[in-house]
Amino acid sequence: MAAPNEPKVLATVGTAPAQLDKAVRVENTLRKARGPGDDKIHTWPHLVRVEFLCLLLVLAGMIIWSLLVDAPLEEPAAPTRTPNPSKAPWYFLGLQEILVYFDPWHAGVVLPSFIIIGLMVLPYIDINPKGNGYYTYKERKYEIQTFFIGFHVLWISLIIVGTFLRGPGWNWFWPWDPWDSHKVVALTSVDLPYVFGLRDYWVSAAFGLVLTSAYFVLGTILLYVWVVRKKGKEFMARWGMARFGLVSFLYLNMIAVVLKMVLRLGFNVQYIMVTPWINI
Amino acid sequence: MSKWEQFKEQIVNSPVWQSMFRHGYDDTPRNRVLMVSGNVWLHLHPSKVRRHGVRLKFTWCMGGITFLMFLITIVTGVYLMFYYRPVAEYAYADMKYLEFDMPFGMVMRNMHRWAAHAMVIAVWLHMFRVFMTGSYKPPREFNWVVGVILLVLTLLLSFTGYLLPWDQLSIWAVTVGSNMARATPLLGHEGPFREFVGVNDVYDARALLFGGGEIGPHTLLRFYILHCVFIPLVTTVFLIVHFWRIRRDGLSGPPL
Amino acid sequence: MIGRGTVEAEEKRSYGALFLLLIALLIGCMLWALWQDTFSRHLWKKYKTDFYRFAIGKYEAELVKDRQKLEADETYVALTKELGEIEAGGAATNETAARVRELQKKLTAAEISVFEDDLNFRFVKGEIEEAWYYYEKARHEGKDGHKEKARLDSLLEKKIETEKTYDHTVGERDAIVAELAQADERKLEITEKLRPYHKTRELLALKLDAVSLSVFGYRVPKVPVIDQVVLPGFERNNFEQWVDRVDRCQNCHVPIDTAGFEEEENPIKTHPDRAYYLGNHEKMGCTPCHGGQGPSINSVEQAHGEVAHWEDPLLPKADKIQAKCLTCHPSALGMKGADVAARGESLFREMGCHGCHLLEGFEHLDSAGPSLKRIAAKAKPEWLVEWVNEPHTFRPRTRMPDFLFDREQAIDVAAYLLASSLEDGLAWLETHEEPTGVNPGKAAQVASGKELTQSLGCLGCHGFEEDQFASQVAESKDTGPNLARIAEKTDARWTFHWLQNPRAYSEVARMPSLRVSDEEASAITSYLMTLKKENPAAPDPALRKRLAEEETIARGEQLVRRYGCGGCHVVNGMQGESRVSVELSTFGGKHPDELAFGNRDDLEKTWDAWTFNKILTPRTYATERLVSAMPMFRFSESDARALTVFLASKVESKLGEHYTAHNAPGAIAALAGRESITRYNCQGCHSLDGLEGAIRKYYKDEDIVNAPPVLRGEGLKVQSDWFVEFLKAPVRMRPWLKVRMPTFGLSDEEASKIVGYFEAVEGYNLGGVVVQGPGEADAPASGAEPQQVPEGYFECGACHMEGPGRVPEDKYWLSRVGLTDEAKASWLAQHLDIKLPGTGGDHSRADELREFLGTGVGGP
Repeated sequence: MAAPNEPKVLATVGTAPAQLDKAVRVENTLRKARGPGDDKIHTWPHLVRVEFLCLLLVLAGMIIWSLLVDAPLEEPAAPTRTPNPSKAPWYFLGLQEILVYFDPWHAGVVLPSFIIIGLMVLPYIDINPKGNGYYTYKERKYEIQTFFIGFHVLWISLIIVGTFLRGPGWNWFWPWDPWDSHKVVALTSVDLPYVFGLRDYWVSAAFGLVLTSAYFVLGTILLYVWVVRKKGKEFMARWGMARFGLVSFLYLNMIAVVLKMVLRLGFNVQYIMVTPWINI
Repeated sequence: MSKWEQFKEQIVNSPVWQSMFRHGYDDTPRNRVLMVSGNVWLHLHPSKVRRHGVRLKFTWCMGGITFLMFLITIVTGVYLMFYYRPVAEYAYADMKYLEFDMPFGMVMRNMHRWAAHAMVIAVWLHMFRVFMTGSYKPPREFNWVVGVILLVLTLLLSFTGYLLPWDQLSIWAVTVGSNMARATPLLGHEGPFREFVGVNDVYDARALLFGGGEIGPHTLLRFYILHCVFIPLVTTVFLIVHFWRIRRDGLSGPPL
Repeated sequence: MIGRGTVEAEEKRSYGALFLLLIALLIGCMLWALWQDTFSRHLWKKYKTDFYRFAIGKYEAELVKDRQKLEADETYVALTKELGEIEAGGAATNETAARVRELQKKLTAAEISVFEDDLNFRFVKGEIEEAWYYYEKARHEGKDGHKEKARLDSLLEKKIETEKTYDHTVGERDAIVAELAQADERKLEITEKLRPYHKTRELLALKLDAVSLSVFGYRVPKVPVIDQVVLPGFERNNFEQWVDRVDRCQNCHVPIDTAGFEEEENPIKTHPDRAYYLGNHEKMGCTPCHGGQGPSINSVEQAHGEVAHWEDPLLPKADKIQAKCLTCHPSALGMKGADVAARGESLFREMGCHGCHLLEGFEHLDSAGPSLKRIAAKAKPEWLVEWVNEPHTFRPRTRMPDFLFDREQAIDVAAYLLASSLEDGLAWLETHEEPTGVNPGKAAQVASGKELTQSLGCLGCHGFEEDQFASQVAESKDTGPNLARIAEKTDARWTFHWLQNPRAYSEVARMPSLRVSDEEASAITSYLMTLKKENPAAPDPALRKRLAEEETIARGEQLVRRYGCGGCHVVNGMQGESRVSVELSTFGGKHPDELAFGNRDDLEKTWDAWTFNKILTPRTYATERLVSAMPMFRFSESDARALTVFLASKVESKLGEHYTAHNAPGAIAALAGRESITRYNCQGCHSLDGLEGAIRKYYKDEDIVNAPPVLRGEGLKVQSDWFVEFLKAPVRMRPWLKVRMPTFGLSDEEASKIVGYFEAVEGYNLGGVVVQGPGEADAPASGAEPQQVPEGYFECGACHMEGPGRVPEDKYWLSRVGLTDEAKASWLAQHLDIKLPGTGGDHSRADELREFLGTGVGGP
């Protein structure tokens, strides 16, 4: 019988694809209440009263806030007069900000899809049994760091940038700069192949394609090597190629956003790859 | 027994009372359980929970707050629905009437908007907490997926509601947000590979959102229905699944 | 009491204090929300209740005053005293009182009988209806219906009886009432006498009821209720849908449409000139004129729209509000209360703005400046260069703006103008030779010429000394050019022929012909040729050589094209050029973001500031890169402000059709006529449209009757066809006058428009008909003598002038027209009845006189 503090190991999943044969699904099931020393308390009153207090506090806060601060209502809708700047609702400002670095099909459709898909598959690619039901940093360092980069650093700070640091014309304005709708910023960005001296359209396209593919290929390889070094070969075998591939793809896409930001803001580079169908 | 006690006894033992309130209210373990399991609203909870489930330091109560915000928006939203007409001739004017004429109109509108924003923030914090406590790990993977779906629905609710005041902020924010849809690969009239499908500016993914080639009164009605009827229904369905899963798998907590 | 498991601190902890705190907080929030909603957010309730209280106080004070006044009136006091005694049953004899009481008892019984008999009568009638139904039903069912018929017949008989009884009872009752009235005769008499005394009190009671309720004898303010004016389908929104306009201003400005509060402070103040402005109140609301946020009733800033994101804030009453008049009305000219906007509108016209800027409704106006088609025949080249360079140096009050050319550019422009007008100028010179009778050296001729300019009426448009001017279009801008230095500009040959026939030189000349003879023209020319400040510049061969150079002319053409001289002047080679500057039809709706302020950081970033400064100093927003070609008009600040107000009204019209005043036929006719009246400067001589004739300032008081006649009420008196004919070819109406009505060379159409103006002002609608004059053959010769009224016939001479000589002040002009127009005849009929002494309502003699005037006195 498993010791009280050890998670129960279920049988392996028999009909799963080969790579998952070695996967082990570890469940942290509840034990039925057994008697003195068990972990449970009555919902009524203990949980319910805490919830109720929470409700009262939040409700009071909401009412006070609603009495003090009025919701905005601007001029009547005018389809022929665009305000400058024209901002999406604040929770989409992160996406509007990455429109600076990527084309709309990528920034507005592909990346949000990746975000949603990435979030959804999160439980399936995380095979670390530790940290299930309690706070720990040491036991799940890499998972937490990845989430942190994705959510806090990228998503949240891009929203902050979009809200406070972008003004008319989507130009950069520090908080102390007044918003000048006549500000002119020279657009001197060039594509990466141009930086390397390439001038022919198709040669540049090929260059971009090679670079992008190389990024993903080399990136995956580097990630593989690094994971094996940190966690060992058995872990990688257990993790499996499917999961690793997915993680690598999503992770590299996420880092690509950071890279594009650096290239654009620091080096004035617009696109890596320019083709008649897509630009990246 | 004093007269008062006798009187109370009579009431509490009467058939009318007994038909409504089926168990006593002494603080016995049995009554504690019955309070939860015998009450339609409270029996969403299990009758007993793991200890850390009551600790705000663990749960942050964010899931509950999100749900509370949802309920607040429903209640205030119903009030607003009495006075708001989703047609371009009246939408903006009705917002003004809510502010000036209706008793508590502005307070209701404010609560609705701030609760909506708070719901978005709360759902993100809830997601963050669930991640930090690893409460998406087996056996709770699917509930996390349902949660992500709920996250997307929350954002959509907020987005569709953003349009309804019909002021400059509304239509341009929604235009900016929806314009990204025209860049959808294959399905957007400015997206890559559109030639293979034959979409145009009045018939593509963006036009589906707008109800036409550009934003207008037709968009308003569409978003109104999405905001007040369709997405709340879908959200409710997924909430039901979400709560059911929590009950089924139990509140996550440290291994015993 | 868990029973099992360890009991931890958590479960023992009591949250009671926190609960209490939070519940208290919540309850506090609820109360705060309630307070906010009842008091602090919706301030209109307070304003309205304050007004009600104020009104109650005011009315009650008036009641007190009224009562005091009545009590001071002896008659009233006596009457009331007597009435009181009668009612108390004291003063009248006991017999009367007893009789009255008895009669009143009988009356009560009689009323009861009447009621009963009436009931019986009505029941019988009802039963008859029922019987008819059954009878007809039986018949329809094929039965013979005898029974039913019998019942019906018996009921009909009963009806006759009951009716008789009823009438009898009513008669008895009425008799008693009549008796009572007699007995109470005195009481009724007094009550009738008292009625007029109580009028004020009753009126005040009504007024009090409008603002208060009576609670246990005390007057408390009424519970405030929201009032609003709804204008359905008032305007189109940004999606071209019709939306209503809702105004609730009168919830704070409660007595805005109630007389009696004119002296108070806003918001408890009656609208000034209420009858004029609020005649259409229910139709027009408040915000279409004043701006503001109509649906708001919350706070002053909200209601006045002085909040962020409301695009139509309250407009300053001083001037900018007048821009709103033009939302509904096509023109502000002649409109009471729109003087600033009207001045702006006429400035726009007169200063030639339409020459460079397209403005809807102002596309087809005549050019503002003189024709330069033949300028080579008129102007000395040396003068032309200086003029183009700096017009205001030569003529400080010219309408021509300063283009800020340097001398080189001026030479280029002059070169082009001279070159382009050479051919036409020479052609004109060939047919207009040097006049022989002109001799500026002869003092007598000069003096005669000067006297002519002072008497013929030239002074109505022109000044002959530097500071002399009569009519101006703007502050310090003359209508007609000041001629103090005319000899420096042109020569005798041009002047002589121009005087005799301006239209031959310029097809678009505004200057009319004064029908001067050769002698008169020579004299005037001599005089004009003495008017100079410096000696005219000697011919400069070097300059003239440059002016003839190809390159100079080419450069000049570029400049003329670029700066749009063709917008104000007819210039050969520039016909067909489009306007050089921007359209202003929706300029009033521009956002400050769309206006370039250049380097003027000192200005407020508002539309008002931009426009005002632009008009005052047009090139002020130019930078190194942004050049500006608009010339300097040197407007005064108030003129610039008037133009700003006018331009503020130029916004895209989204108004519902039935709210515009565009269909007022009189307005259209008046506007069309005013255009011509302004163009030809009728107000230079005649007083009309509320303005004094400019030339009148040159007449001393005792001579004022020698001034051109005041044109008031002409539309009522003068027959249309005669009027048109007169305008086209004026005849000498008042032979004793030296001042001469000019021949303006009007077409039938133009003359009809002017006549239409006069009629529209008086409420007639000519309907845009072009009235044909009878033609030259029938035109009376100028200078014909008027027919005298026979001696002793009606003594018209007692008041009316009939012949030459001085006219004393109380005399009136006599109109010499035949009466063929019914409408005008009616004016004359009224005039005769009212003004003519001695008829005193006796129309027979007036008819006789009318006939006489219709056939006898002069006229065509």
